[in-house]
Amino acid sequence: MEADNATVVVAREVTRRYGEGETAVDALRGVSVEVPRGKLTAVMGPSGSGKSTLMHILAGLDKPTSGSVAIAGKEITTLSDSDLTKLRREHIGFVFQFFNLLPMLDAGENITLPLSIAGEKPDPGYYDQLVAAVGLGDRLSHRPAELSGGQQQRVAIARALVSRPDVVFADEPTGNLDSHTGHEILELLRHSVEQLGQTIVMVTHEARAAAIADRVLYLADGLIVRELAGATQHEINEAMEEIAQA
Amino acid sequence: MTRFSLKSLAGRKFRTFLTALAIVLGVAMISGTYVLTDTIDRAFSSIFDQSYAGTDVVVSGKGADINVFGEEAERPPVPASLLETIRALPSVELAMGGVYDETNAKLIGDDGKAVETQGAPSLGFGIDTSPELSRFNPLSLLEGRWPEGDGEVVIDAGVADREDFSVGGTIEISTLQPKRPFEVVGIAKFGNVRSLGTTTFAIFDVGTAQELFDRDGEFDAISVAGKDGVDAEQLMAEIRPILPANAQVRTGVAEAEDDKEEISEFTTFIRYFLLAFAGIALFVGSFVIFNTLSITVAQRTREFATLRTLGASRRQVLRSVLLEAFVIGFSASVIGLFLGLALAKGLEALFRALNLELPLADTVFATRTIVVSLLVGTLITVVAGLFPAIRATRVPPIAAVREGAELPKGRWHRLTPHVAIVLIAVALGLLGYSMFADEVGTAQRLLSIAGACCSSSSASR
Ligand SMILES: Nc1ncnc2c1ncn2[C@@H]1O[C@H](COP(=O)(O)OP(=O)(O)OP(=O)(O)O)[C@@H](O)[C@H]1O
Ligand SMILES: [Mg+2]
Repeated sequence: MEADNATVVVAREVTRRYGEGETAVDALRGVSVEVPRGKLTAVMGPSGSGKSTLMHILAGLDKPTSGSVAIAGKEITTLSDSDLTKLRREHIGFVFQFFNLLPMLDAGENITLPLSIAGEKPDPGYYDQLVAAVGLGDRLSHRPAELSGGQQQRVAIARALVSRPDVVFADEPTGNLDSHTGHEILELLRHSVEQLGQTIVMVTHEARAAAIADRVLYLADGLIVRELAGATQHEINEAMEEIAQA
Repeated sequence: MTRFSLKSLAGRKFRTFLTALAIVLGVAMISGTYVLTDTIDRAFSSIFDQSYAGTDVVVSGKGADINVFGEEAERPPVPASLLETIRALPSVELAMGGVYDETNAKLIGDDGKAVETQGAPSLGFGIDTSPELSRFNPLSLLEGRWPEGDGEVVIDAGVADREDFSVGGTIEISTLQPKRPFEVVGIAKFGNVRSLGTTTFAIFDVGTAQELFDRDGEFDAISVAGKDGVDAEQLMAEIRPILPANAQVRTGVAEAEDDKEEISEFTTFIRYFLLAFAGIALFVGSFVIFNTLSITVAQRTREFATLRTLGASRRQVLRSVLLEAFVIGFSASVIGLFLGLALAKGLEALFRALNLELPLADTVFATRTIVVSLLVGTLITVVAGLFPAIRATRVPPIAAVREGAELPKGRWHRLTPHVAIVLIAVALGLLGYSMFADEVGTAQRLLSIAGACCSSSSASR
C-alpha cells in the first residue's frame, strides 16, 4: 500500500454493511480517504451518515465489509488480534466522547496507563510538557470522579498523546461538554497538532469544532460528498446546509 | 497493569470482603481441623510414649494372622504362669502382668444407666500397683489410693468430674460379670491429661480384673524391663524361646507405635469428616467467587474494552482478572489460616469448659497445615476466577465506544450488600449449627448445609 511519510492513514473503497438481507444497513458505501501527518482532519455529516463507523474502521476497532485500510504503511484489515494490539499500543491513540477513564486510577495513573500496559516508562521531559499542555498540574492525584468533565477529557487527551502515537482518533470529544469547556478542549487538540506535531482525526457535529481543523470531510449516506481545507466556521456551516438540502 | 488490578479490588473492598468470606471460612475449617487433629494426635503420641517409657518389651498373645480392613485380630491372653518364667530370666530386671479390657467395663451412673461414651472405649484394667512396679503403670493417681482386693476401684478424673463420683463413694460397674458395686478408692489420670474425652476407665487389682473379664489364670500382656545394659533386642532374644506358640514379644517402642497408629486412624477419620465440611464451604465459596467475578466482569465491560484500545492484550486482561482472584484467594486463605488456628484453640477451650478435656498437647501448627490451607484456598479462588477472566478477554475493544456496554445497575443494587450480609450470616449460622450441634440428625444436617450453600451463593448477586 502506498504510504509516504506524509500520510498516516490510507483507506481505499471502504464499505461497511451492518446486518444481512432485508434489514441490512450500508453504513459506508465506498469511502477512500487519506489522513495527512501532522494535521487535524475533521469528519462531519448528518446523524447516521457513517462518521463513527468510518472512524472505527480507520482505527482498527471494526473491520470493513470490503476495502482496505493502512496505518503507518501497514494493512490493518487482515491483522490478527495480537498484531492489532501491538498496532494500538504503538500507533494509535483514542479520545472518547464519554472520556473512558478508569475510575480507580488517579489522573496521573490514567495518563501513563498506555505506557504501563506497554511496560514502558514515561519520558520525563515529554510527560511534563504534556501535563503542562493539558493544564492538570495540581490535579494529577485526583480520581476521575473528583474531576469536572472538561478536566476528565484533558486527562483522556493526555493519555491518548502520552505514547506519541502516529494518529489520535476522537469521536465527538466535545459532545458531552458545555460549549465553554468544549472550546478549551478544542484549543488543546489544536495545540497538540501545532506544538506537539500530532495527527488527529476528529468526528464532530459542530461547525465550531470543525473550524479548528486543517481539513473537513463531509459524509452523507455512507459516502464522502465534500472536502474543505482551512475553512471558517461560516463556510463549514454553509457546506453543511447544502448537504442537508441535497 | 498490576496496579490496575489491585486498585480495582481496593475500589470494591466491601464486596470483595463479602465474596472472600466463604473462602475464609472454608480455609479456617481446613486449618482448624488440621490444628485440632494434629494436636490430639501429638497428645496421644506423648501419652503412649510415656506409658511405655518404663517398658522395654511386651509379651502378649498373638492374634490370628489376619487383617480385616486394617483391623488386627484381637490378641488372645497369655497364661499367667509365664510371668514367673520371665521374671526368672537372667536379663530381666522387672516384669508385670496386667489385664487390659477395652470395652467391657461399663460404669453405671446415678440414673442407673451406663455412662455414655459415644463410641469411645470403656477401659477396664487390672494393674499390679506395687510401688516397685510403678514404672509399668501408665496412670497417675490424683486422689485416694490404688485398689487393693475385691470391691475397690479407681476411676478416671474425667468421668468422676462429669458424673460426680468421688473418693469414698460407691459406683456400680457392669463387666463380663453381672453388675456390682465397688468403692471408689482413688481417682487417676492417664499420663498427663485429665481425661481422654469421653473414654472412661476403671482400674482394679489384677486378681479382681481377671475375674471380672474372664481372665482367670491369664494376662493380656506382660510388661518387661531389662537389667541395666541389656537392650530390647537381647531381651527379646532371651524371651522368645520360652514363649508358647500363640504368644509374641515386641518392643515397647513398637507397641507404642501401634497404639499411635490406632489413634491416628481415629483422628484421621475425624479429620476427613471435618475436611469434608471444609470442602463444602470451599465449594460454596468457589461459586460465590465465580458469581461475583462474573458480575464485576460484566459491569466492567467498558473498562476492559478501554484497556484493549489502550493496547492491552487479551493475556493482560486475563492476568489482571486472575490476579484479582489470586489476591482475593490468597488474602482470604491467610485470614482463614489464622482464623482456623483461633477456632481450634477456641474449641479446645470450649471442650475444657464442658469438662470434655481433650488430650491436648501444645498446639501443633504444622507446615503442612499452612501449605495446604494457603494452596487450596488460593487455587480454588483462582480456578473459580478462570471463567470470568476468560470472559473478560472476549470483550472486544469496540465495546469501549458502544452505548449500553455497561450493564445497568438493578434497582436493588443499593440493597445488595446488606442482603448479602444477612444471607452470609444465615449461612454461617447454619454451617455452625450443622457442625457442632450434637442432636442434629443426619437429614437435618444435610438440610442446614444445603441451606447454607443456597444463601451464600445468592448473597453475591
Ligand atoms: N452496531 C451496529 N449495528 C447495526 N447498525 C449500525 C451499527 N452501528 C451503526 N449502525 C448504523 O449504521 C449507520 C451509520 O452509523 P454511525 O454510528 O456510523 O453514524 P454517525 O454518523 O456516527 O451518527 P451520529 O452522528 O448519530 O453519531 C446508521 O444507520 C446506524 O444505524
Ligand atoms: Mg457517531
